[in-house]
Amino acid sequence: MALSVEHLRRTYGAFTAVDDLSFEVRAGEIVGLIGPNGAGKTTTLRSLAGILKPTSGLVRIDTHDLTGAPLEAKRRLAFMPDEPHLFEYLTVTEHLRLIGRLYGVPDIDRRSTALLGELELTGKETALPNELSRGMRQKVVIACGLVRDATTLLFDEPLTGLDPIGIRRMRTTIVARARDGAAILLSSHLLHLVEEVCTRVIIMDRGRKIADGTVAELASRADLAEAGSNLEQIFFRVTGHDTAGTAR
Amino acid sequence: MIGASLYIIACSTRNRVRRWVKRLGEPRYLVAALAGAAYFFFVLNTQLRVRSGAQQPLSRRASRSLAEQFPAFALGGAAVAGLAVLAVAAGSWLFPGTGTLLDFTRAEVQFLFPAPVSRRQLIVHRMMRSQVGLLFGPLVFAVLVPFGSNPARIRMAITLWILLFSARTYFSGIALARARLASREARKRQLARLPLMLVLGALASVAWPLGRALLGEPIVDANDALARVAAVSAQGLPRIALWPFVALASPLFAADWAPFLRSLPQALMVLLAAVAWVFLNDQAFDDITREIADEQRDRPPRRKAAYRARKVGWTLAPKGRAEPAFAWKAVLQTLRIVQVRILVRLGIFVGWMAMVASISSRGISASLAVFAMIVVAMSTLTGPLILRIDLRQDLQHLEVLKTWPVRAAELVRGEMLWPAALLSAIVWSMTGLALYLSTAVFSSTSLALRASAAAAVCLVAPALIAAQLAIHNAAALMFPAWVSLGGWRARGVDAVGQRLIVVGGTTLLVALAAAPGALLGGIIWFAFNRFIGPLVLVPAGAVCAAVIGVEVLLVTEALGPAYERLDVTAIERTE
Repeated sequence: MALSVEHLRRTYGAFTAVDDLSFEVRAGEIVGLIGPNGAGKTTTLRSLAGILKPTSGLVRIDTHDLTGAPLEAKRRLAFMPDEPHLFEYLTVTEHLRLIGRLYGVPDIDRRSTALLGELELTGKETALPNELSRGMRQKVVIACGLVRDATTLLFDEPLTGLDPIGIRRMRTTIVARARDGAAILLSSHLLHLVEEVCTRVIIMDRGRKIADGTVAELASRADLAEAGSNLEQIFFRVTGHDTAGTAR
Repeated sequence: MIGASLYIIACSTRNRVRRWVKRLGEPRYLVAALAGAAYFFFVLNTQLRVRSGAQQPLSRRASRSLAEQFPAFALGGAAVAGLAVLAVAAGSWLFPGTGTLLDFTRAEVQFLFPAPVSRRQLIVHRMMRSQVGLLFGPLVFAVLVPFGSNPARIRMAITLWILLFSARTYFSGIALARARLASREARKRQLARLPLMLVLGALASVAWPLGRALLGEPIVDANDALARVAAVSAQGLPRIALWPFVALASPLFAADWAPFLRSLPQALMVLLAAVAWVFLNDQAFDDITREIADEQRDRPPRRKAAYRARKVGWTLAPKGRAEPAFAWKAVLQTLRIVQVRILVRLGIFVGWMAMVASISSRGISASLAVFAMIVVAMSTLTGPLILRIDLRQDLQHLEVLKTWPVRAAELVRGEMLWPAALLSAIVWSMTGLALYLSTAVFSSTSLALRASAAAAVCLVAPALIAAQLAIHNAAALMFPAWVSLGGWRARGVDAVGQRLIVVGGTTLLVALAAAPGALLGGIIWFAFNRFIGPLVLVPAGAVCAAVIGVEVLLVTEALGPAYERLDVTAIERTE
């Protein structure tokens, strides 16, 4: 199992952002993590990436415990956050070179060149982050995640700021990485994207997992049978809203 | 708009106070607030005791006004201050910012720019908003300044407020005028250029007679220098040219209320002129606010420095330990932020040093040697506190750092490597310079002793620097909410307390860390001094440095749990 989460719980003072969350993502699987604002998706992803320390629970990346053996776990993990967080004094190439050094990526220059071409960043190699648009900065963050052979990829709203061409390319890239054997957990509010690329969906609300399965499995669930067959309809039903988005 | 501005000011002040009070619920903030309050109480109590006559000799000295405290100022203080204001006024054309009055927050850009509010009203709003900060600074200064009677302090606060408000308005005027310089209409460009011409004209008309007066005959003392400046500024063209600048500063030097009230209207007139100039230039506001809005869009929440992609001649090797990778990152950060502004400031400082050295009675060699020794001491003792190109700055990137497969010890050592190397290089070069020129200062000391002492300094100083950096970085990991990130600085009583605790704690810990090394070094000195003479300082220094070095390594290795415990919420709460 590439990614395994057991009874994950994360609190901020008295507030519980993620409560008793358990799931697994197998190699080659793309799992969509969806939920309303404040459902705990980003907290979950940040806890899985090692940015937030879980209050309790277990996270394993390729059998390596994220708390017990953080270096081994992090070496196999790539996290692409929704907000591009770059060092404002490093150029695009230097970001990739730094990542290459810290993760021990062989042949970093060749990989970087290929990846920058794939993400349409060719010509921006010597640009600093403040010379790039938000979409391009997002692509640099994604390049930093993809330049190494991570077995588990975590995407938090990966399409934010990308243009239509970038969105299409990113979809292709995500699917291609899964086909190559990576386990992918993708958080997004774009339900059509999730429905299109994900093999399975986890729906969260108020810190808890309220649904887990393929779209077809969810649609066939007895309590959701009336909701309809597409993810949007299922989502509204599961989170207690009607199709107009009004809380029931 | 004035009502809306007052509403914004009232709401944000109330919310800030609420947040501050809520923050005090956490023990570390409460302890810091108590420490800060104790500091202010101590300072105020001392001031009050001094003023009430508890310590008579000091009281007499301290209760006098600025002019009475320093008699020379009564003569030429206003003129010198006016000259300084003129220099700043001219210099700010060379290095302009947008002016903090035009430094709109993201929320202001988002809510007020699209609102049906005139440009002038927006400027008035910013002027009103800036008053809290403008009033606070002079008040604190007037309370804490160690001299002057109560009325003198009130006068000082009022004058400083006028000075600061005028400066802020003037800087914004420059930003607007510079925007108009790009106008296609020649008349607008001419009008925008006019204030610059006036300031440069004033500078030129003062510089020549002043230079002649100061350089003509040797200066006897400070009173003599001030008298000459006063004489130049009191007659002819320099008097007219300096008038607005002297008018702004002169209330500061009034010995009593009567002269103060006589000089106040003139200062207020200059302030009003600056405000009027900004209002007249509000046509350029559209251009500059567009620029501000663009900057705001691209700018991260905290203000950050601007970098330029310069080649630095160091390509990171694809393989190797993590520490040099962090040092490489920090080198790029340092070299890419170097700006002309910094070089000019450095040039001014070096020029000033050269001037001091040339007029010093010690002679140039001795002055430079003393200067070099001061730099060595400052770099070793305060350099690690000031040079924050380490985890203290990188905590704002914690979200990225935490995802990297790097051990905490490697991370901390890597973050420390570049500032330690930079400060050590400064110490070594300045120690070398001091040794080279040391004959001029320590003529009776043997070369062997001077060279040995210099070598010992070169060995011990890097260890002390590393020890302080280790303490600062350890504190950043263990008390992240106390670290000022990047350009952001915490404010308030608790922030003052935090700084006092950090500085005090660091000093104590450095002393403790240095003690075993100093003890061993002392034993070596005692045992071998009679055999090898002053040369003993070298092995003693080496042993001392080695002991501190081992301690630093142990400290960095022990930081693993603190790093693993640390998460971004501890940082975010400080924003």
